[in-house]
Amino acid sequence: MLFDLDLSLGFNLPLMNSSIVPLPAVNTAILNSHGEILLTLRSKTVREPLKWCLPGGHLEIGETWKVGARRETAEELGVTTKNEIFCGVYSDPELTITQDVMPEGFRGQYVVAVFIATEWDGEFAPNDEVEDWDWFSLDNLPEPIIRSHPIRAIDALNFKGVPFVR
Amino acid sequence: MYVNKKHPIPAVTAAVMREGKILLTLRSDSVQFPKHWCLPGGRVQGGQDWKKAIEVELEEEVGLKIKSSTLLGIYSNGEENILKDEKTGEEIPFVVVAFQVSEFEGEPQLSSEVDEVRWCDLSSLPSPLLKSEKTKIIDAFEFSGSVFVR
Repeated sequence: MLFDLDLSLGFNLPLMNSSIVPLPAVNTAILNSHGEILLTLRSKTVREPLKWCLPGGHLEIGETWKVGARRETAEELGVTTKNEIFCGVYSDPELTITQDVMPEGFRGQYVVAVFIATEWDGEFAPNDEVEDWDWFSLDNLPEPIIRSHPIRAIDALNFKGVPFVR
Repeated sequence: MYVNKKHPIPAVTAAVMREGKILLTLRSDSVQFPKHWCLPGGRVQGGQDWKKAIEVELEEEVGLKIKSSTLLGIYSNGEENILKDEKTGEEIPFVVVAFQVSEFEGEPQLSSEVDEVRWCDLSSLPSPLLKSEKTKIIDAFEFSGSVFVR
C-alpha cells in the first residue's frame, strides 16, 4: 500500500508520509423502472471535479447510515428517498483511498454503505455540488466516473436481496 | 486515536457463535473502555477492507482464525454507538459492520487486550456490558440470514 494507484496521473506517488484514515460515507443508488441508475456529474468546485458518481457523502456524527444517505440525496438532488434497501458495504482499499492528502495531513479511505432507492418525493433540483445528472443503464455507464463507483452501480442494478460485502 | 473529530469511526465486530452461545471478552486495562465486556472487534485500520479488519481483530484479541463469516448487520444508532471514554470524558462515535462467525479455528485465548473470555447465552450476559453490544448480541441470536440495518 506504499504507492498511489491512480494510473491516470501517469506516475506513482509514495504514501510514506501520509497515514490513511478510514472515514464512513454513504451513497444512494436511485433506480428507475427502466433498469437505470441515476448518476450525478460532480461540479468543478468539489473533490474529484467533473467526474460522474452516485449521490452521497460523509456520514455525520449522530445519524444512522440510512438517514445520512437520505440527507445527502436531499441536499444534492432535492428529492427525499423512502423505503431504501441496504445494498452493501464497500471498503476495498485499492479503490477507496483518496489520491489527495487532506488539509489535516492524512488520506481518507471512504468506507461506504450503499442504499438502493426506487421511491422518492419531490422533483429533481440539483445543488451547486452537482453539475449535471442523468439516468444510465449498466451497459452505458459514463466516463469519467469515480473509480470506486462502477462496482456499486453494477451491484445495485444486479441486486437480488443479499447485501454485498466488498 | 480520534484524528478527525467531525466523523464517526468505522469499526468491525464479530458475533462468534458455538453451540448456541456467543463469545464475549472482558477488556483489559490497557485498552479504551477498560473492564467492560464486549464482542471482539475494533476500528478499521487504514488500508484494510472489512473482512481483513475483523480477521486481524479476532486473531489479535482472542487468537481465532475465521473460516467462514457472513454479514450480520450494520449499526450506526447514536444512542448505543457513541461511547464515553471514562478517562478523557470524550464521546467517541462509532459506526459498526458486524459479522456472524460460525466456523473458526482455535480456542479463544487471552491477550494484552483481553482479560477474560466467556461463552454466554442471552440469559447470562455478564456485567458491565459496553452499551453498544446488547442489540448486536440479540441480533446474533436471532439471525437467520437477513442482515440487520440499524
